[in-house]
Amino acid sequence: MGNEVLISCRGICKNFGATRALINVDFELRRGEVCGLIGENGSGKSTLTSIFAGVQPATSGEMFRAGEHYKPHNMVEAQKAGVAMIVQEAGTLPGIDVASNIFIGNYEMFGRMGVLNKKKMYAEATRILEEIGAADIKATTKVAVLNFEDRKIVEIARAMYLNPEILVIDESTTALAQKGRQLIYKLIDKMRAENKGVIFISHDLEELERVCNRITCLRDGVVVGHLADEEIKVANMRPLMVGRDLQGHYYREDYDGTSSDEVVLDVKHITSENGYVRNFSIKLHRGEILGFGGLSECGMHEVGRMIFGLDKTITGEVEYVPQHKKIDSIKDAISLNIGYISKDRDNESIILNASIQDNTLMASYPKISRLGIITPKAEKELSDKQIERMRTKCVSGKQYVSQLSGGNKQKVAFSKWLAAGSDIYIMDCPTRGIDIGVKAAMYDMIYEFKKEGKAIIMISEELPELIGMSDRMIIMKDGAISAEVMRSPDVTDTKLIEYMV
Amino acid sequence: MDTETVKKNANRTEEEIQEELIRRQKRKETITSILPVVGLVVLVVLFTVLTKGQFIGMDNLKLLVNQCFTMCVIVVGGAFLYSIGGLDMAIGAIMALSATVLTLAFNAGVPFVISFLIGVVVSVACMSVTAFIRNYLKVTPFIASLCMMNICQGLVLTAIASTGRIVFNYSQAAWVDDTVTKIITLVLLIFVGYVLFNYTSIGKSLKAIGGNATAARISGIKVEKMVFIAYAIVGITIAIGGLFTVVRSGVADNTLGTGLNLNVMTAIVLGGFPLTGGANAKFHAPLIGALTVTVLTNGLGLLGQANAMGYAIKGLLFIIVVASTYEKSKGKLIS
Repeated sequence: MGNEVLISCRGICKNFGATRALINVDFELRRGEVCGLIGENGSGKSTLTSIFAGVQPATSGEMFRAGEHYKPHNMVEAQKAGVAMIVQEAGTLPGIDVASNIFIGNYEMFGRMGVLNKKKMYAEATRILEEIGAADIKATTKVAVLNFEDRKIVEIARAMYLNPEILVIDESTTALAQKGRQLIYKLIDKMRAENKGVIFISHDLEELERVCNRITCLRDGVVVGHLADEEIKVANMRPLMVGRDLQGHYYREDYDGTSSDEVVLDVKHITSENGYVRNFSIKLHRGEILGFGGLSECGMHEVGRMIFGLDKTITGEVEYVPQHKKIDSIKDAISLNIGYISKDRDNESIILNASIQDNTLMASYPKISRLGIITPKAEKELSDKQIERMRTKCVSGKQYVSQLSGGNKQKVAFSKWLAAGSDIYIMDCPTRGIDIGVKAAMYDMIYEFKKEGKAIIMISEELPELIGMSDRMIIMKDGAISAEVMRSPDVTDTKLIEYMV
Repeated sequence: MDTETVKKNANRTEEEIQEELIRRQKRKETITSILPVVGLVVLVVLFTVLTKGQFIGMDNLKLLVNQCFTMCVIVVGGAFLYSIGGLDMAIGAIMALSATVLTLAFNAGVPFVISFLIGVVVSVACMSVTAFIRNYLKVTPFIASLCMMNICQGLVLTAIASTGRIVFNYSQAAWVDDTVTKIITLVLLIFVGYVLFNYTSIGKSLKAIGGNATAARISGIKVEKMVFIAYAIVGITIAIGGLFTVVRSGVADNTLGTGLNLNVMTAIVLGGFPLTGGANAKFHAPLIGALTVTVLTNGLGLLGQANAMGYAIKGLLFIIVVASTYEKSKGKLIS
């Protein structure tokens, strides 16, 4: 019975306040299937799987597990019904040890007249860790001392110890590095071999093409299509996710890497406090997209922060050349029309619990106040203009940013500097964690900035993006420039990686 | 029916559902925002009926103005302080110190207005110390304010050590303790506060800091300066409150301002003002709360329940309001 349905749902709806996360979703997973769940951020993938795993209840609709009604009240109940999930954020408790984390909610398994048999628990935990191929993690270690990757592996162990028939892997925002990846692939293979089922959420479409034998795509909470077997190709997935053909270009199409000779920023011999950047110099020109690439600790993020006056420089200085002014603080930078978009969007760029309008105007209060008074009309005008220009998807400027999707949140972060009238943009990972549709719009916007004569520093961990957008690429290694590469069709990932390591 | 029509119908219901959800969300927001006002009205009606009209008699209304005055004045400033989050436990003690110094100056022959300004300087200075500790020593404002409370109490006790209390020469400033003066003062303060809070970069910046201080800093808001301003504003209102309190009671001593901290906090919460601050902070909320606290105290007093039941009922109400208006999952009340 290879095609027996393991889990299914009919007419699932889920509302969060006025936001409809899922609308009449039907889904089924059969034995031996590895089903990839795709869709842009905010399309409802994680919501759907978390309902399967008992994290939250559906607003309406029915679920069936092996033909019977299924309605788990919590993750432990779901796990007992054979549905286990590895969640996207680390869901481990740092204060207690690995074994206690693995068996959390199920301590009665090791109970003997109300007393916990720790020895048995540790032995069992060690066995599971070995089984999934992570024998290097000790059951008695406190989770707090483990790194992010190992914490995820502890979660995998927690998902696996009851031998689930259905495994949900949610990798929609955070991705595992190599060690965890291999472990997950092995698990998926094993589940498939045992004729069980896997639901896999990942942003890495190539990865899904390799491991899945079925794909379901969600868009705005609605199932918009399925792919099976040979249809599973990245080329088929993209248009399904975005809802239209991504025709023509994604990045800019020209290979003209020239820009004006006019230097706007002159960075002279700067060194960062943490020592990641040493004696670093660079010039930024008007109308230039200057890309920064490198490994995460190469110092490129610090360069951006120092230029904006956010981090201190121990040596050297940053000069705004047109006015021969030194930039020492955020205040200086903003007064010279420099804007900074942080890598850490939710913590540094936006206020989640405030309206789009409040966020958009945060850097523009001095600009819109007349005799110290800011009128609601002036606020609305400036804010609505940015919403229109960025095509931010929202009900109105009064809507709270926390209700927006990742891409639209980032649009709000951009809007803030557009409203302030910035001419120089420092963008640290501007497209991190945002979906293809919005990404394409961002690239268009950045290119438009260039044509308007604005200057852009784009710090990125994604090489294709760097190659696709930059006029000039600065590859950093150990706090210094290891290569400077001009825009050309011949630049490849591999070439740049050589300079990075 | 052709497929086109079917599709259209399906689409329409989806839109209808969406509209319905937005409507429901708006209704919920409206309820949360008007609940404090409704509560206040219900209390007023209830007490009016129970006291057979005595509650809204002219005498009692005057009494109400006097009772709520200090708290209303202080929560006008409090709105600025609480919009950046963090509790302050030093308000009562600082008011006592400010009023004591003011009285000493006045008794020493300093003109009334100058004495008052000295009082303002004292309370603004004290609040600035808390702001300094918060800004540069990175101590939780709650703890910083506890230290400030003890320092101020100590200073007041030192000042009154020989006599036990300082008598304020009431007859020379009798016009201050007048209902009309108080109403005018309050209306002016509320007007200025309202404009500052809603229509200037000060109010907007403070709410941004309450929402996300890092994002505010990166957007060019001078966080430290704004924190000082918030503390200074509440300092000014504390001094005003202190002046009226000491003129009314005629003496400055260490009992002045007792219970004020908790009353202010209760007012903030009952009004539906988030203690963590941010964009949900509404200027009118603590004022509504202050009125509610006063009406409750006064009404229970008229019914002869001031002490016996008063505290218990306030406590109960506090829990009911907090539990029903705050989104507990988000930990909005105290982060």
